[in-house]
Amino acid sequence: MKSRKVLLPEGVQDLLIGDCIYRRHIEDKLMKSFVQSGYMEISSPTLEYYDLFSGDYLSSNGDKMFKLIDTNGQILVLRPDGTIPIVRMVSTKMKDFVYPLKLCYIENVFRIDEEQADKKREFRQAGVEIFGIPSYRGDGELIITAIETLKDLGLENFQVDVGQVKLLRGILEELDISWEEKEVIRENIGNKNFIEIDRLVDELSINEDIKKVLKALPRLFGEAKEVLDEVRTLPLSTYMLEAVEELEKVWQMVRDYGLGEYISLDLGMVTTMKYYSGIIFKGFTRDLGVILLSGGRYDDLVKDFGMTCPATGFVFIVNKITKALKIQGRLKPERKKHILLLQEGEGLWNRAILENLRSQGHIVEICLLENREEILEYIDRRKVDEVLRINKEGKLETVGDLGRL
Amino acid sequence: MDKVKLAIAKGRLAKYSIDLLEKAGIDCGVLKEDNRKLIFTLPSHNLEVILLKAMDVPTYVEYGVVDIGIVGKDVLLEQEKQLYEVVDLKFGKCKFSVAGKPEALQGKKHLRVATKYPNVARKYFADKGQSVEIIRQEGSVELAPLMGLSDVIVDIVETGKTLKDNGLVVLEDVADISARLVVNRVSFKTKKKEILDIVNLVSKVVG
Repeated sequence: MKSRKVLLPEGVQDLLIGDCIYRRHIEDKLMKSFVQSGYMEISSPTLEYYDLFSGDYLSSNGDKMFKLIDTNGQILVLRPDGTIPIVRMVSTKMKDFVYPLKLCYIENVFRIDEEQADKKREFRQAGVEIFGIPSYRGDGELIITAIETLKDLGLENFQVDVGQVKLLRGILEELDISWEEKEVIRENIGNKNFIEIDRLVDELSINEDIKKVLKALPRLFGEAKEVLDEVRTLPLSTYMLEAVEELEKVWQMVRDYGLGEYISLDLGMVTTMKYYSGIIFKGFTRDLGVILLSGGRYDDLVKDFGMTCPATGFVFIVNKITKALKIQGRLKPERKKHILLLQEGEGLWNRAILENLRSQGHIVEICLLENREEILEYIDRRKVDEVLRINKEGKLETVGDLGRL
Repeated sequence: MDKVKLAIAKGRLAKYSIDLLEKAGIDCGVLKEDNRKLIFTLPSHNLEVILLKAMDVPTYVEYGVVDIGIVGKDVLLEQEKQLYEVVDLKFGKCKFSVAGKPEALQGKKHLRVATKYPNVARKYFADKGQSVEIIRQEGSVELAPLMGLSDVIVDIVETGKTLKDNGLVVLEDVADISARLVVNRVSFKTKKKEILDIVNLVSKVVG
């Protein structure tokens, strides 16, 4: 076996020059788009106490976190999630801000084996969060931000699929069946296992109307108007109707804004993240079978930090977006003109000349090589666009004929 | 209409899977030709079929390089991938069972378990509160208790004949197994109509 010195641990990767160009291109665009929509960037530390992530909502993820032992014996973790540290920051340090408080971040998160990471243990999340807006307007604003940002990146054929946690949760809470039975129903609705759901529900001794709704839920997904029309034909109770109306308002807001074509609904959407409490959504493209973004409302999580404040947010999985853009051939960072600057003798470098060229937005590189052959190879392999030279009079001239270098 | 990509597990389930598609009215002639091709096109339903080792089917579907797959619940239980498990196809029925010599479980505080399904075995015994040592196997698992490598095995049992011929018995049942139609979580949304067509065709046959 080769020495570990030259290998990488599982699930992490080096980013070489091309990868970094792509990453910076994408992340600059993401951040610009967030900031232009009024979000403010913040950054949380890579290391946090284990306790921060060990609440009820996440305890099942306990063994998916990278842990370290601090000098005083405390357990630390590498940040496994972007949202929770921000809730900690808001509830401890930013309480007195004017609301809505709109925040954004781009951070690395670390997990051992994760669905959305495609088995990467370290990956980039670009997220936004809105604190202080309890109504559908917060959720709608987020979804608009997500769509506008993806459009701005040049992504095509994508859609944002919107669901509502309150619907299924509300139904299950009222049912007089065991916790295990509820879990099985939730799992099968999440799996869209139509046949099994029909069988399970038929076996339960519950209200016929509720049976009808439970059977319909996993099938109610797709084009928003169709789904909404169909769900209204069902015998919905007041709280179900309220949950559906909230979803409808979000859709209408996005539609009125002019982005309705990007929205689909899934009333049977189930989430593994237990902290979601209302509207949830996921984004994807038909060209890549993975989730590009996910988010939703998490009012209850904030309560856990001793603060009553509605909150909603989402994250982009940056490496998945990069992959999708590559597949679609839409990843074309602007290439700057690359100039190599030579001098005809010693001591001719002139700051004014360099500054002038760079201020025009070009890459201007001082030639460090002296040998003619090496310079020619460098020009060729680095794909230098233009070779300039400062001549003996200190004036800039173009080297048109490389043969005469 | 977008093309739908379907992965079928080779081996035990392949024949049944093809029968099912034919009964659903999908012409699978090219799949029965005796050659070594791995990718087939069924133009009548705009389907592309690929043949994979069973253990690889969930991975292909999860990554979205194929849209749907036909694979045994045994593999799904072992791998716990994020997929939609849409239809129980009802063929390839068998059970996950704990088997061993008749007295194998008696008075054991710490069990040695040989299996091709370490995750299923670990989870089953953990739920029972029994501490175990898992010995991962690739081949004939039945040999392990006979040769003294393990106390019991966890494996899929179809008829029980192999067990019986080797003096082993089923000690406990772990779970019922059958073939499932699984769908990638994104494809079901982006190719809803195309995939629902196939799901409905297949569901009708299964009943």
